[in-house]
Amino acid sequence: MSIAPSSDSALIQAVEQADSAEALQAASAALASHLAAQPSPAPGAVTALVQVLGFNNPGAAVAAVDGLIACGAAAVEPLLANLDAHNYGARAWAVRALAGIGDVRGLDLLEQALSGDIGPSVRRAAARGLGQLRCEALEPQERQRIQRRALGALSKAASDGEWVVRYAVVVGLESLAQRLLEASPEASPEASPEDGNDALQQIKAVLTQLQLDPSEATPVVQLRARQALLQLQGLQGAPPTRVLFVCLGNICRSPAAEGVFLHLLQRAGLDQAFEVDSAGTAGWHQGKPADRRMLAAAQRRGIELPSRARQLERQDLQHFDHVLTMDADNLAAVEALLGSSPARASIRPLTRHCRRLLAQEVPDPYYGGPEGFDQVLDLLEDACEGLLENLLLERGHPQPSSVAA
Amino acid sequence: MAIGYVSQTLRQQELRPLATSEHPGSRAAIGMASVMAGDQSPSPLTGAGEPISEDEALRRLRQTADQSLQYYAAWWLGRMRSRHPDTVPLLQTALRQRQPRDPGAGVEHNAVARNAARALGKLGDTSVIPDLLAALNDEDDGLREAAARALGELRAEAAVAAITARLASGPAGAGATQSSSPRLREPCEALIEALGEIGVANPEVISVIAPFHDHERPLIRSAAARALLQLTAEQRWAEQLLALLNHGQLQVRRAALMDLGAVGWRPALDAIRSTLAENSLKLIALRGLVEQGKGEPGVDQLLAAMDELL
Repeated sequence: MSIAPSSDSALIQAVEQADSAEALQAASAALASHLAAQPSPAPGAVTALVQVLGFNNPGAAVAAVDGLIACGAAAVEPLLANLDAHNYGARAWAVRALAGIGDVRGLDLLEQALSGDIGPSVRRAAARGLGQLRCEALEPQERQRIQRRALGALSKAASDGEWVVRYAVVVGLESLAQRLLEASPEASPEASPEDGNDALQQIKAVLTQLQLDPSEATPVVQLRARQALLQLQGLQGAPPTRVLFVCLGNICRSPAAEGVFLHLLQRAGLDQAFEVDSAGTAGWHQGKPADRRMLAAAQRRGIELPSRARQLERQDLQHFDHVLTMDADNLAAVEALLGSSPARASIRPLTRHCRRLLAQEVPDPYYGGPEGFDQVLDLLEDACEGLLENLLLERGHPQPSSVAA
Repeated sequence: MAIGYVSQTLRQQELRPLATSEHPGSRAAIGMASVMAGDQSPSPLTGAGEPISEDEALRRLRQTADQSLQYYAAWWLGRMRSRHPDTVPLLQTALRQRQPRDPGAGVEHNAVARNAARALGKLGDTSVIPDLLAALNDEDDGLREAAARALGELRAEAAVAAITARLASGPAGAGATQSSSPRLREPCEALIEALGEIGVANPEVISVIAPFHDHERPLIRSAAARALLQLTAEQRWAEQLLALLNHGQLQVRRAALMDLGAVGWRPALDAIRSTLAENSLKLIALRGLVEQGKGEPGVDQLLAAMDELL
């Protein structure tokens, strides 16, 4: 152990001689910020800071962890050398520090912590840390080996019993995927590009499972998994999914479907991933807002209908990925417009996506009583929920055949 | 009403962050839940530790010779959201079981009945509301507390009158300290929180809760502000909770965190981030903002803040 410079030793002494919780906390914070500011902190002084982790003083430990993370690579050896198997608290703090530092020498400990630690806060820190291991400087094969281990550990922890750990697994997988994408295969001929692809596919599969699995009962985990998937697709240059709702006049049913679907997207934080519009097969109402009775019924559910009526055009069938019709007449009119040319869009009745309600068509409430509007909204909410889930599933597992009509 | 099918489905699943911890859906348990790094699940008495099957849990609850086994079984069935047809009837029977406190075994007063109430709150079967209403009249205030929380979790509108009646004597009555213990005469925190969860915002309910907003105990003030914010959505109650995030005692700051999360008050994001408390609890609070709240700051900002706290 090297001799610490004199300013170090005064600060170390203050830690060792602290006679109250407050004094220990202050002395630890002082030592931590002193070391954090040094270009190469002395190992002896770093070890003194590591020892603070074992003093059962959370305030001091928080300061020490922050300081150790700031010390970076210089803190790794002192942390690993001073692990105390019998002091659970100290070990938990060390895991957090190593997770924050992201040095590959911490891999073993992070793996063990994620799979076996009893504290959810330790497992969650380990999950985040496994996504942040710095492998850029390593040989490609070594980098792949480490990233594969991190991926394996994170995939297993996707079924952790605590929601916060699963949440951290999502965040860890997202950063791991970013690192995989940043490591360009061209620059590393020894590494097989397939390996990186496989890893990305596995990450997507785990995220998709967390997003859709009915046993994932924690909405915030589902939301975060969705966001991570979209982020990943964005990094890979995926365009937004384009969705068009079609009815006859585009003032009642299709504007309502558009509004309901937009509402679902906003709730899920997915606005950026979709382009949504509506149109009518007939052009009688061009430029008009949605029917005021439908506007009112939607507003009672907190749903805005931003649409202005427009007529469906042939090019819509090439621009949009999904065209969803309300009834058999709409479907026939869209197919007639398409004629014999191939469409980019899949053209389907919206009610195909219903999950709870049984319906072949979304009935036109235009000439009916006021309760008709609420029935239509009930139906649209059911169908749009199913639609969103199905589209996300498709995005999670891109299948070229599903895009064709 | 701004709630569509999505949110209804989510609510059925389990929206409230508190109900998902290892404990009964209550911030009263956060002391245990959050002991810094050592936030492991509590081992509920004997029998804990090794995983058991649903059949084993039912067997343990059915026998009456060893109450600590029953206690664990009741907790287990609630925690695992057991759907077995015997589960609810057995818990209803267990809810009627009474037993003195056994300090030697570390068992609380009426331990089995209390855990049965907690489990029934989690299972979502509203046919048990009459049983819980009966328990709400028990002489054991700890059992009344567990029953009140369960009724809140079940959104039992039928319980509003009974709960309101228990609180009607106000801070000087229901909210006065018992002569024999530091507990209040009524489990005010649980009763007030239940009214907020049930969500019947009639003037009588509000006028009964309102006086508790300046109760001498900060945890009661926090519970009152939470319920009033849920029922009225008035900014002033949010401000009271934000002020409690700066309270000198950690326990009070924790409670205010849980309360802001339960209400989903999104403007609290920055205050939650900067209060002095464990990240574990901040994460639970922010989860509440995401799932319960609406408006600004939006989901993206909230999730980014959660990522930072991992």
